[in-house]
Amino acid sequence: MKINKKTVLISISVIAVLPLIFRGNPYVIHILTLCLIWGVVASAWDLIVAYANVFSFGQMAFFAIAGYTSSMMSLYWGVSPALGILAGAGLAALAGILVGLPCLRLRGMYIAVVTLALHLVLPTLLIQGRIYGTGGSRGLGGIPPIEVLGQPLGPLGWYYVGLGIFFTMLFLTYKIINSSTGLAFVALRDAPAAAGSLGVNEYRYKLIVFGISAFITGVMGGFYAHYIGIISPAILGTDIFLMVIAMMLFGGLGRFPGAVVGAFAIASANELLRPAGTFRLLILGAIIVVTLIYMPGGLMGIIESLGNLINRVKSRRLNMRHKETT
Amino acid sequence: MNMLEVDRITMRFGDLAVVKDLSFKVKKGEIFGIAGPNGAGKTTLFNLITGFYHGSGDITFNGEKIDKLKPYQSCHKGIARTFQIPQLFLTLPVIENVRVGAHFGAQGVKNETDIINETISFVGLQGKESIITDNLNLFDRKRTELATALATKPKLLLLDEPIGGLSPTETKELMALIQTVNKELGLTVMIIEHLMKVLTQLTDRLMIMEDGMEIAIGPPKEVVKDEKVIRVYLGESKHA
Repeated sequence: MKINKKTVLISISVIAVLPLIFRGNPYVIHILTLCLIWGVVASAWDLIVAYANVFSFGQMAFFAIAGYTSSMMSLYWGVSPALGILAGAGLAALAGILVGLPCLRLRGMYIAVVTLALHLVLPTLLIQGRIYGTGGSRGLGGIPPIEVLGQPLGPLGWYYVGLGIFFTMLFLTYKIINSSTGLAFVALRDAPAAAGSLGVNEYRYKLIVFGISAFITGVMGGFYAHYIGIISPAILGTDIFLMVIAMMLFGGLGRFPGAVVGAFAIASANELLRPAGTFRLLILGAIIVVTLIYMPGGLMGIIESLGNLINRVKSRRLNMRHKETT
Repeated sequence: MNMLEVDRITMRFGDLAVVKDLSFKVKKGEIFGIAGPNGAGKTTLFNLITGFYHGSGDITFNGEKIDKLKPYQSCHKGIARTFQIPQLFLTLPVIENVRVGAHFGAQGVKNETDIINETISFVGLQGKESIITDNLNLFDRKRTELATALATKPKLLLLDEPIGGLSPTETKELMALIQTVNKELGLTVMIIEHLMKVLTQLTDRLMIMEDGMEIAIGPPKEVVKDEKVIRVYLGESKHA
């Protein structure tokens, strides 16, 4: 899919100046930074579910693996956060490939079951891994922040570093979608038998997307850990799991950059709903159900329909004018 | 010289043998027809040749055993196919459908864009490159599917009931296209069809299948006179 360059430039400009619009309010900047993090995670998940048609529920597991890796490397070995984030993302990608190797030989719901099992088992492993430095049920705290010239980043600094990573990862996602790898994904999604008969190696391309999606998610997992300063098994909780799924659906599955749009909407709503406590899960679940029934294309689907309608009206007016002049 | 040799292949689904101990050869450069009643095992045979199914027995293509290959590997060896119901990438335009074949199927080619444009032009779809295939009529869908298969630069082309659902004019056009594919591009063609008139005009040799077995094989004019074929497949035509 092609994106209008003008739209991209406007979007980049708006997102870049958002904190300034809110006069540098630290709470608002914090929510915006979370939007960037979850926007990338949701996009990477969208890549694997909607483009590659692999029903994986392992995304948050890769997020946690990268977050923990980066945190432990920084805490115990003094590795800089930047290197730690890359190492964490690399390990997440490796985990993605190792999970994908046996699991992608399965079909449909079996992949969902296996990856969901990984998601459910990982908190136990992290808790039991206390002797290996995971921090047990409490997790890890005091994770070193990213520093520039020896100084820890302030709220705006975190936002703009996150923004840089956000655009880099989104650009990578966009390039993948519009490459021959992306073409293979669409072919496998639309007509897997035909794709195979035309030379597309389904297993290879799905393994590639598993690894890339896990890497992209892992980058944000590492960034999240250093940003928040704490990481615990709670990162694999149902609330965050459901929240990211809601982002993908609300934004529009397979409609890049729908997951980003959904992330901004849902992450903001999630923070605003914090006073509702455990009722947040109920509300997130309701958003998922309502979106599936009444807005299956998500926000991007509505935007695309409006765009098509506008184009049809323009086209009709042009035809009428042409008829009048002839 | 034989391009394809099928030697005693059998395909079972549980206790049901859909293809039973089938053997035949396809000569290089010929148009080889396959006919038979529904459930005879014709499409299963194509699925065995193209790696969608793996049964027992041997399938040799250009002297190389291919019976254990996966579909994408079979394509890379030079075998392309179409499906009974056209299998297209419906969210993509015609040109991107053909690009899938050219990019992933045609091995070691440098002029991918030329192949795509030539193939689209060859099947008569020039001017329709940017149309989303979901918006095409049946005839154009069949031509697009043929183009995607041809873009893989195959040596052997398998066509599964290509005429189904077409008008008489479209049938005539498609038959002419298949003959051009064979004569001008030099491709060996295997074609499954129900219309005996099409098969007798188009094919060099014809095999009739029933219950997973071959009951007659040879030049079409001889096969249609075979008593077994008349009894099993053409019974009513004796009285036409």
